[in-house]
Amino acid sequence: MSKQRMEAEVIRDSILAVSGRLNLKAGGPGFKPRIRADLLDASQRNKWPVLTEDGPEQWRRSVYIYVKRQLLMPSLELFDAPTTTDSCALRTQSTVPTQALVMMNDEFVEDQASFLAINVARVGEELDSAIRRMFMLVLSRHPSDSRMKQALQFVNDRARQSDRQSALADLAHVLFNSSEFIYIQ
Amino acid sequence: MTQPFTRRQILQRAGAGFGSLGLQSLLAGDGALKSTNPLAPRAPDYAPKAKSVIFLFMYGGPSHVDLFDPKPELARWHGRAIPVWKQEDAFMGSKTKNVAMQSYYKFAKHGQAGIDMAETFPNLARHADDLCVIRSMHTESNNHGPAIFQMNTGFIQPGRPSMGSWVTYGLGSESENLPAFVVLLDHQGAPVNGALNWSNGFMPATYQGVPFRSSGEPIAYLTPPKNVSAAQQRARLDLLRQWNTEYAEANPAETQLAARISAYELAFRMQMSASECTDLSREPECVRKMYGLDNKVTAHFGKNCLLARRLVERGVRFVQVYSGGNEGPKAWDAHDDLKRNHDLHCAETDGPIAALLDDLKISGMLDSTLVVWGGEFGRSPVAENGKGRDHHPKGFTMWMAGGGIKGGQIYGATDEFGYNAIENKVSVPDLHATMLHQLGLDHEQLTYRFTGRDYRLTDVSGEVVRALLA
Repeated sequence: MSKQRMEAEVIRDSILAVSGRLNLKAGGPGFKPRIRADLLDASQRNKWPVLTEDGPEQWRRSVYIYVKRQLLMPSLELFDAPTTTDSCALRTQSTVPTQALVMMNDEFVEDQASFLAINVARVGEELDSAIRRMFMLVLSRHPSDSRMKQALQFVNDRARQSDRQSALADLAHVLFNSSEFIYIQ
Repeated sequence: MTQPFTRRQILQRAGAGFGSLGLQSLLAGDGALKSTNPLAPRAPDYAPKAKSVIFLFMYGGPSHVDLFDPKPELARWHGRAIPVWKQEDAFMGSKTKNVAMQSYYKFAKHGQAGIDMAETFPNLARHADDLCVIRSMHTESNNHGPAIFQMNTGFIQPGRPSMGSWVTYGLGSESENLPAFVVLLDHQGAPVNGALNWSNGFMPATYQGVPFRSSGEPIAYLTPPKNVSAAQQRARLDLLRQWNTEYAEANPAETQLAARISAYELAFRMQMSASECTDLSREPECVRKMYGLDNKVTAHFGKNCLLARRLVERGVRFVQVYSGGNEGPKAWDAHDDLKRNHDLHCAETDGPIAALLDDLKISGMLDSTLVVWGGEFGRSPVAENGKGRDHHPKGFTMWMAGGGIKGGQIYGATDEFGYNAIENKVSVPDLHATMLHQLGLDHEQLTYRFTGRDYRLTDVSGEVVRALLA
């Protein structure tokens, strides 16, 4: 069986689950997630709120995202979430640069990477064990020896430019963008 | 009690499991999987006249009888009922009365061809011999939403791929570093239904229009969050490329994994080159002035026209430039006061459009760039609220220039009131068929299978209008 790319909502929910911030509150009215202010052009009526940061209410599962006909969530739309006007028997599975841009540059991914870094740092002072824990959470496997070596070197290099916490967040960001996370075996 | 498989699971595994093994080798054999880039340039059906399209979309519906289709009869019938009027054509119901309204503007003939143009286009007038004015356009809906959908996608319903998506699907992209289909919005905002107007519809998302923003970032998520430095991003991407490459090499049958690596590389290049492209300060002062960037009235539309030229120059296939946004007076939607509305929107666009045509001509790009001007419909020859005009789909004007179109001609005609298109009528699918033809695409061959049938931009109609071609 070939590998399947996670669907738009699944990518978002998986990132939240892994970072430890997923809010499993069920039911109730939908929520309007943070969308960069400069992407709200298309919206005229029933305005989308301009949020500078998000919190537990925005960390609910994607199934509860408020659906506005003329403003699809840009990050979901780019990952082939269907339009709201036709039934969709099978989603396309595109691979386009604009997806790379959203995964590289969306504040949501950035914030959740920081949360994951905080999350794994709780296991102790050892950098090794923090990285191991991060691999287990994101990829459900231990890092190979060579990966471990590369990851350690990356985090140490980055930490010299900033600090260890931010360097771990950099690593989390790389893992969220990795094909091994985005594709399901 | 355990349930080993549901019926659905068995079907899925049997269908996509064994079946897909055979399919995989079949596809690999005929090369369908070899090109992993859906935007790779593809050969047209026949030699194209145009490589790119700049569609100047006058959203709201510019008034044909006030701009390109003079009707002396309206002055004679001014204030009286005209025999061709039908209540059912009026969008605003009883606000629109069957009372003919003469034009507020003076017309003159321009160029060797003697193209009639209103006094509101003093600059465009010098391009009269470049314009192919179609006076016999007609469309299906008298409502903005469905009429814009039809002009953009061929259908009055939402959810179909837009023309830019069809063109990109048919021809691929000529640009390594930029999207193939770009939408430039008016400073007043997006037209009604926003992104549905440049949607890929049922095609893969690759083909959707990328709206550049009028201020700030031109492309969604083109810059990293403020607290992420360039060095930090580069370090992340280097490690990512290493790991993604190893993963793709370990799974050579999965072509998307390799495509993903090149997508990240293009994304990184876009971060650089898209900002280079949109940086208009790189243009000489005289060019900026020519497009009216130094004038408050023309600066916005002028900026988008100049941007359109820079995009086409860099291989972007389809650029749509909107004049007018949001609703009512912010668009060409002159319900209340036609003169006030069209005075403004003509003043905003006349100079920049003339500059764009000049610029394309000077740089030798007009021959390979099809420029199209028009809205989703025209405006009614009768009055609304005394001095406005209602929507009107039964006859209106559009023009084309460049891209192998025969300039200096007027094609088709409306009746003596400008109400119904009566001579050499051109439908929206006819216009689409002609545009695709100039790009080297046969509108009957360009199909996409969806919900069990082949769709076309022109659906089941459309004829190339040969008389428009050079």
